[in-house]
Amino acid sequence: MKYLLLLLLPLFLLSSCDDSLTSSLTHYDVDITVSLPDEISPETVSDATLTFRNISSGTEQRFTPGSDISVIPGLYDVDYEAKGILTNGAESRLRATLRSVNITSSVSLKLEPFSCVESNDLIIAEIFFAGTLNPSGNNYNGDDYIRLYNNSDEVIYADGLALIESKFNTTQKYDYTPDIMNEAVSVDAIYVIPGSGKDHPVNPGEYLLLADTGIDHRQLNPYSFDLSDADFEWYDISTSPSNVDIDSPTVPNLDKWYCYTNSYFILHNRGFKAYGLARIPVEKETYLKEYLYNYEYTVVSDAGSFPMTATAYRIPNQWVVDWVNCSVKALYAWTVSAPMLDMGWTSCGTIDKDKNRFFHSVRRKLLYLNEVGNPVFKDTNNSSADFNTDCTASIIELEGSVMDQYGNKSVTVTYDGITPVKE
Amino acid sequence: MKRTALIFAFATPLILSASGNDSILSRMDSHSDGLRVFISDTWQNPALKYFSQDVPFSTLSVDYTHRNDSENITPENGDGLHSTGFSAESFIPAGNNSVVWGNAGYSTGTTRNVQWCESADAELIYPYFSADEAGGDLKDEYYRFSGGYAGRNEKLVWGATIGYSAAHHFRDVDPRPRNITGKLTLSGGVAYALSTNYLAGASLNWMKYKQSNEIKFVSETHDLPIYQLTGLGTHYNRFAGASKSSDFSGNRFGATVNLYPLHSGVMVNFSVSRFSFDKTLRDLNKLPIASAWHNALTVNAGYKHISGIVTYSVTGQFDAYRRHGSENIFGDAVSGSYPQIGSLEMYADNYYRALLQGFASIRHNNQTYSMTLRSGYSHRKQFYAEPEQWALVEGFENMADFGVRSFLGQHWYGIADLSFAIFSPTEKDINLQPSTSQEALTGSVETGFRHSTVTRCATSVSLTAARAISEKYAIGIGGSATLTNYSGTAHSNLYNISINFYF
Repeated sequence: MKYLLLLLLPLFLLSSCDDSLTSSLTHYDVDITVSLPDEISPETVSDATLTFRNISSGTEQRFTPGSDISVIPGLYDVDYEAKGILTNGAESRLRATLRSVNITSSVSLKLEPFSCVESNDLIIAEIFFAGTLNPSGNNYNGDDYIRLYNNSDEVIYADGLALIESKFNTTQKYDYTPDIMNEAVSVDAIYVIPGSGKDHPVNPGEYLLLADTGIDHRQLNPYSFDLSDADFEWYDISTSPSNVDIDSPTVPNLDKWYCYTNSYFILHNRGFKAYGLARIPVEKETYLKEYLYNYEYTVVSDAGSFPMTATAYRIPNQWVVDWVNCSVKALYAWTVSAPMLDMGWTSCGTIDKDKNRFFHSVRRKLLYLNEVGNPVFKDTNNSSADFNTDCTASIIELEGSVMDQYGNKSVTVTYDGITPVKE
Repeated sequence: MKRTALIFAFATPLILSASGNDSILSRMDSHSDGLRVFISDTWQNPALKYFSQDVPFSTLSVDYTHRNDSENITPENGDGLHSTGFSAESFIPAGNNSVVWGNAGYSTGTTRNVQWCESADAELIYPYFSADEAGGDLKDEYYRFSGGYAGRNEKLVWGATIGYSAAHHFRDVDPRPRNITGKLTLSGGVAYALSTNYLAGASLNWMKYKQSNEIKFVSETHDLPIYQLTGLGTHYNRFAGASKSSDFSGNRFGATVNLYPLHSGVMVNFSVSRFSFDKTLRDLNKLPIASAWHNALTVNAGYKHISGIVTYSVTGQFDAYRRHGSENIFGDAVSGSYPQIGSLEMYADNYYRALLQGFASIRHNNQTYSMTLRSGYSHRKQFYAEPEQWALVEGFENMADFGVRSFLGQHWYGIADLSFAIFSPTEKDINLQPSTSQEALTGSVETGFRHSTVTRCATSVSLTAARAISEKYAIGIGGSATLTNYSGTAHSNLYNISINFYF
């Protein structure tokens, strides 16, 4: 009897007798090397912080470079931020990022910060990709738009500025070969603002509205709004008779350089894509001929692995003046740009096909009003920090149109979806 | 309907053969023996079940249960329920040296206002629930079948049981979980007569557990993220909203060792078990996100005395369990598949309890008076590794139960029972990190903790009356009420009423 007891007892006692688990939870040391750009001398660097974000748990730990860094095993995003003085004496913000770093043992990580240089061009102030619902609760297409803004104190000419959409989704990652992300973005739509160079001035504090279809959408959907005063629309001549675009008589068209679809282009209404602005310094024909990007990747499914090939266009990072990664919180997989363009991502809705995203947009955060009362928006090339998510769309606010599926109308006007405009 | 027919088919052979030479009321009195309940740990060994009662007795019951809580005391259990069911139970000596027993049952009802848990069998698979912030009422259906056999050959007794239970939980409004659970249990045991009084026994048991959990939204205009909870208000941030279908699969292995006196003497029961399970997300290619193991130990030793008039027993008991949960971590999802890069043991729930308990009964004419006293101390600490969080509760638990069984004339028999229980906390401590989780989820953990750490008083009354309609058959009605008060801040009332047919 007692032998049997002795035999069974260890089964239970094999486990730890400690109430807590901290003693058994391994932490791994992380050695960080920061390789500064040539134009920054190390002694001028200040306010440096390192942020480790555990992708599984969502928790963040902040460290200062040089301190002892240890984290539990996991998949991490690592961000570095500091201030530095350029050789010309100007203050610069330094940033570096490493995405999806597996830490399963002690590791050494090398960070190569880049100096954030302001593009001094128009910025994307708002992306309304989700669209609206009609009174019967069905999704209505065609009233999506992107609002640009002159965040500077000088007139900016919009002529030649290209609106671009990423080829890749932020919700599904593949190993695309060759990987050109550090040199260029891959795009599947390019629409350019027409003009000879000074035809479309945008004054400081002014917006430029690029709409999908520049009509009064209330005629088709009483829950939508009027876009007949938009500055430009993207119009496509469809080869599909059942899916034709509407060419607004009141709104000039953007110059279509390329789009992946044979019917008509709309913003990805679940928010899987990134959108950007670029100044393309070559002629359309030259660009379309010389900037093709052929790539390969592998799709893995229950049925096996399937090698794929595909084609997109590439736009060198230096040409990109603004870039905003959009995604879905529940599905986010990666950002589809180099960190120097956008270190983060923004979203509307929490889950895929989130019904709450309709009527809502992502809007750039207000920093302050300048001396002439113009809003100055946050532009740090980090969409996670720069944008407010799930905001009522600005056009809905301005027109006081329907703001939700129940037909309630908007009564508040804000600068950024949060801060109200004071009369 | 087929399942209902199966329940009857399972129980009918036993029911038809259930009869004995004693009158139904005396068999009922024997079946209701308080000592049999007091030493029920012994009957986990199916071989020793041979000695659990010496008369045939069977019951058919229809019952209704209603629970109403003033607020959500444990969010995953809802704040009330109502349930209607029927069951058949039988224990029959079959031949000179063997007994068979079986039971089957079906119940259907609604658990009201379940919060932060859309999975079923919360007590088995915690803390890895799938959950959303809406919750709501859940409709429940339960089915169970089990049977056993024990035989004796001189000094050797052997026995085996097999059982299967299934449940279906669902909701007809968004969010619409549909949970299907199944438990298959097997056990086998032997006992050997060491002397004319003592038997030494041992048994092994196994349970296979499965649960499939799927949550749907039908509304065109409303959807909610589904969270994969990981304990103490944390959730798997990476997969929040990404998966609405999950599966649980587990096994429990257990063993018991017993020393059992047929009459008066020292008795010992020792049991250990290990339950382990995995949770996978079906929407993400059956991604194994978490697993847990639960080791449990019970040691019960004491003395029982049986004589013609007075019966008593005193035992000391020690229960403990340790549950540790691990979260799997995955690398970057490339081409739609997540490579597992490690596993972290993040959650622990460790518990122990020491009890001293006594039972005494005395027979006087047609009445049997009984009393059970229990006093103990328990400790439970849940822990989450990073960010470091914990919830600790310790306290004394005391219980007194008084019962009387009585023959009332030739045709009537009654049982009355009154019990008082009190839990008095001596230490409580909670540390949660709200920033790591949904605020409402943290609040639900705090609610459960608050109710588990206040002085808790329960008063229970039960009455059963039976009337013999012949020498072999009786009908009866039973009812019970348990009123639990949580230090004046909340209360829970539980009622049950049943109509029974005894034979």
